[in-house]
Amino acid sequence: MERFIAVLIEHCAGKFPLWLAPTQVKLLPISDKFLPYCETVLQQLKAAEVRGEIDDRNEKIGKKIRDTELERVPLMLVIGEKEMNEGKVAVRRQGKGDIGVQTIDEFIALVNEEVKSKKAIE
Amino acid sequence: MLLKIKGIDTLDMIKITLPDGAVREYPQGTSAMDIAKSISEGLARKVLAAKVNDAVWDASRPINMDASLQLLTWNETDGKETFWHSSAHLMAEALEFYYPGVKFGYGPPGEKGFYYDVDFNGQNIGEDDLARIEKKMLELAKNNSVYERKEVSKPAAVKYFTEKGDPYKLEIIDRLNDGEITFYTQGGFTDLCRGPHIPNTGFIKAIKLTNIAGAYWLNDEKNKMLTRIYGVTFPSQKELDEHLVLLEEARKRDHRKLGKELELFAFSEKVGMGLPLWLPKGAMLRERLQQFLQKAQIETGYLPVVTPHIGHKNLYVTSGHYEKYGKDSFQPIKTPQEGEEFFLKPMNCPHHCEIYKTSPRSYKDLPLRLAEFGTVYRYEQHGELHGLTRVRGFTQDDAHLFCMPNQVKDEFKKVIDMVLYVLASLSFTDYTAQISLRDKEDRAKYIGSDENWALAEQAIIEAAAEKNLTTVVEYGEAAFYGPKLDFMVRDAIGRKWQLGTIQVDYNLPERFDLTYIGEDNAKHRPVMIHRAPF
Ligand SMILES: [Zn+2]
Ligand SMILES: [Zn+2]
Repeated sequence: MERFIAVLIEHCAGKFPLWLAPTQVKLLPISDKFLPYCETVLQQLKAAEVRGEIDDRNEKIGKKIRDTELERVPLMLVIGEKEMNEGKVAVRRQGKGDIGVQTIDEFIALVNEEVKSKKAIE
Repeated sequence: MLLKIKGIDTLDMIKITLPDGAVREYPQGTSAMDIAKSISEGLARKVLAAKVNDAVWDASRPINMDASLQLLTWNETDGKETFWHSSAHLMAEALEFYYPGVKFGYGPPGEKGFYYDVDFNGQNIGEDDLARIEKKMLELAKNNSVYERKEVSKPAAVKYFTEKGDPYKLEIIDRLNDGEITFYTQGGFTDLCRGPHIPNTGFIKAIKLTNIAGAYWLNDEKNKMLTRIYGVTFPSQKELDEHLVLLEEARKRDHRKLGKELELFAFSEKVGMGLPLWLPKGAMLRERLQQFLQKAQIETGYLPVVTPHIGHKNLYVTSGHYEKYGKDSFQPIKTPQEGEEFFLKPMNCPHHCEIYKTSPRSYKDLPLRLAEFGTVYRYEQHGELHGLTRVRGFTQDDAHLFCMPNQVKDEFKKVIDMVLYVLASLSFTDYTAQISLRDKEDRAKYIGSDENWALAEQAIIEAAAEKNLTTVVEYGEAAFYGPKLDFMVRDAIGRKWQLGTIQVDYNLPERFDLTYIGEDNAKHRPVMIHRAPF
């Protein structure tokens, strides 16, 4: 396993396919104000077996996005006023950028589908 | 020109068979370079060396007998290796210029370049010096110095290196027989060498000395530590530039670097070198991968088993591993009971053989496929350790398939299917298989009946063909206990990696006296297949 994982890391340059990624999605609140909403979203993700984390640092959203990109986390959810009020999330994909605003159920369905199909990295 | 020579006495002609099967006649003493020129001047400009009856020769060496001939260029591995090895001589010449009195050990080519082990005898050399050595090499290369081969008697060879004061070359000469010693000279540098080399230094157009490391003479820690200088050379600057881009890309992807940045794994000197610590994120990744592999195994009919991390000395005496690796491995774990010794398990097979033996087996039970993510420990020398690729403790996705001789092919096909499924799921799209078979002539050294070997070899070849694998067959590369198939994958930046092996084994079933009752109600020996591809 060790050697194979080494080869895999070098092959995909640390950008693991979604089904394998240790952290599949990072929740990025625009400010502390949205942390409680992020917690609610994270609970829903956990219940659906989606592996998520919240970036609760007191940083600008631009920096949070850049750092998450560097961490090779495949998906990001940017969460601000509009998302919280509508009960939605703004989805970004690592290396690709914005892919639209979705409901949490829609997002979970997207993740599940991609994990189930073992979609390869592009 | 040679071809114009007509009416020459036919007794002096030799027949040269080219790779396409064409046979041409040349006067005795014609060299591969002459033959290349007779085909085309353009080709001759690219010829680095030649394969004459399966041995690599200098292109300039006269051929005096009928022979098969393959001209070697940069496109052939043997051509590249000759190029790189010749570059080691060039580097030695440059080193003698800056560091008078240096002594040289071995300077072989490798898959990615060359190195030379050098005794600087106290003179300082560091990474900063590499640039000026490269520059000197380029300057010397431009002289188009020919690599001249000379047969030397043993006393003359000893005399030369005694006068030069090179104890390493003298030690090498000591092991050689009179009549098989050759020197090569290019420019002002003479080396003891079997060859072959490229025609002249002018072929070397671009040079990069990559790093400096320490290396014990003859890899023995008791010997003096020499300085190993690594380098790589190319026939054009463009190829060097491409190589440097690739190196930079490889550096960015280095799993040791990413492992740290992505918090996947770490090493601690307190825990011990070569023993990876999987951090939460790395453990998550590993768990996912393991679950995925296990699911695929269960679908193929594998039965998961769990065995302990240690095994009694007698287990390894029975398996033969004690005799073979006893001294070079981790030392035994003793218990308060006098004489009781355990070993950390270096492989899972002996444990699995004992599981096979827990109940009588019939042909109806076969194939029996026992699988385990078994953690094994192997002693590797400190200097050999490298990130996750060379470690002292690691987990194999191991399985042992016990089957009847006529089931080998089907089992191989199933394993190939699983490997291809896993590779596809991880977007490895470029892979080949290497099949290792018995030596064509010397068959006494192999264990197991001739009939079973023939059956298994045929089975592996057919299984690979039916699965449309691109394969290379290597004769004489099989282990003494059975033929095998190895997978090689190419990664996203074109580097080749060898994965684990599917290995037939006639030895362990014998040593553990494994049997099954056949349809004929008689006892038979099962075939064992080891497979730990990931
Ligand atoms: Zn040489
Ligand atoms: Zn085994």
